[in-house]
Amino acid sequence: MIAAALGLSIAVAAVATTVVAVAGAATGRLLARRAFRGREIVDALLTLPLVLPPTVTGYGLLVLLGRHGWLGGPLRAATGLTIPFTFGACAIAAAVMAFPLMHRAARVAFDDTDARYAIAAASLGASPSRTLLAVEIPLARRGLAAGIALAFARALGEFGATLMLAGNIPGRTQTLPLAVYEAAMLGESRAALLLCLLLTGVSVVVLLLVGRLGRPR
Amino acid sequence: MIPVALAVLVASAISLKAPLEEAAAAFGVAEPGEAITVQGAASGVLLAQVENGAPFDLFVSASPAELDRLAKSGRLIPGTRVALATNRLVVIVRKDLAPPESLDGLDDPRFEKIAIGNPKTVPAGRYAAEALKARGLLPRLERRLIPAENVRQVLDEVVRGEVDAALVYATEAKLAGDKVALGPEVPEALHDPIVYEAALVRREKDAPRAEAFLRFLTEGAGRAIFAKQGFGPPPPR
Repeated sequence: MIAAALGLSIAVAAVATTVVAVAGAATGRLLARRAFRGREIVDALLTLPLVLPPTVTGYGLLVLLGRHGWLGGPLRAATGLTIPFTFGACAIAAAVMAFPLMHRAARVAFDDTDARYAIAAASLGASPSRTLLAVEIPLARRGLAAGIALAFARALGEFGATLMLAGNIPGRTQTLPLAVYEAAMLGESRAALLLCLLLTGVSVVVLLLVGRLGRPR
Repeated sequence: MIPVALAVLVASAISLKAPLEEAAAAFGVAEPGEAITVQGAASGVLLAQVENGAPFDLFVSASPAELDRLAKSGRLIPGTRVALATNRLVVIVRKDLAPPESLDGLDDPRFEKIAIGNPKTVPAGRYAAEALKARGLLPRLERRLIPAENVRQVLDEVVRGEVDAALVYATEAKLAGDKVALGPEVPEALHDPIVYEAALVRREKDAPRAEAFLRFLTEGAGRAIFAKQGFGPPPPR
């Protein structure tokens, strides 16, 4: 049970973090670089999963992505795929919950870099994508890396939304936090303790990493 | 606020929550401010709560196994254990599907996802797994089974159409009415008898009202409420 849950959790967190790293960096940069009407409203909406109870987010995801959901229904009609109770459901729940951490870290990271470097690069003939990859991202890399680490830790620890969207199926959607929950319910205190130590250990490593990245160069 | 001394806290198998609440209303209050609160969850979840010292006065389980464990760890008041009601297991399917003729019909590939309670904590799921196993269906259906946290959630997943079929108590299917399509009853010989049992939980103080409420549940008026909501009478002793 523990090995399966650990493997699944790492796979889920890896997929979710990959998606979130790109998406969060994009939204964070957009809000850092562009001033537009309603910018802070967009920021608040993107940060919502951080402050909403995970069960609320999970229920929202179910309404949206369920078999007969607003998006899940058309998806099933078009492709025959359903999201709930699958690996994809775990990854989506983890990604949605981890996204605000990456988004906020990225916004701050891009805010802290001087936009004039990018302007200079562009004036010297660098294409927008080259400016982004060779100038902007390297300048913001510490903040971005810290965001990725936090997002990974959050994805690894996701519980509430996952339980609602993905269920708790051993070997298929039972991630480490769900395995802790079940072990505790069954009075399997040794297993629960072992799983807690495992999750705590991983989280401490991630936080130490974030701390290192956050210190000034 | 309800004064703690006057409150009776009941831990109930979620399938029995509604009749217990109706019974509590019929039982009434001996003095102002008194209240009977029924907490419904999977019996196995409530078992874990009581074992960790949750302040319940009365424990009502959907299978004797949970009470056996509590009795063994000395958490029940000896001599208070009593059977309250029985139930049956039925097959239900999404309302836009035709139910199978028998339990074996769940093998049909049109039932892509089949919900049962998590057998580790949900008695309804344990009975369901026993029945599927007895018919040799468990290995074939294993990949299609979706375990849920309690039998009410199983029912809800069928109502919402997230799963195609499920095994639930007959009383749960009755609650859903035409929001699900009712299939056949599961033959009782395929699983342990579904018996709801109750007992008083050992507390620091006596709980005379809890004791009186438990007696009420075993007498005529209490029995009538269970019967009205579709539960069977307790097995003869």
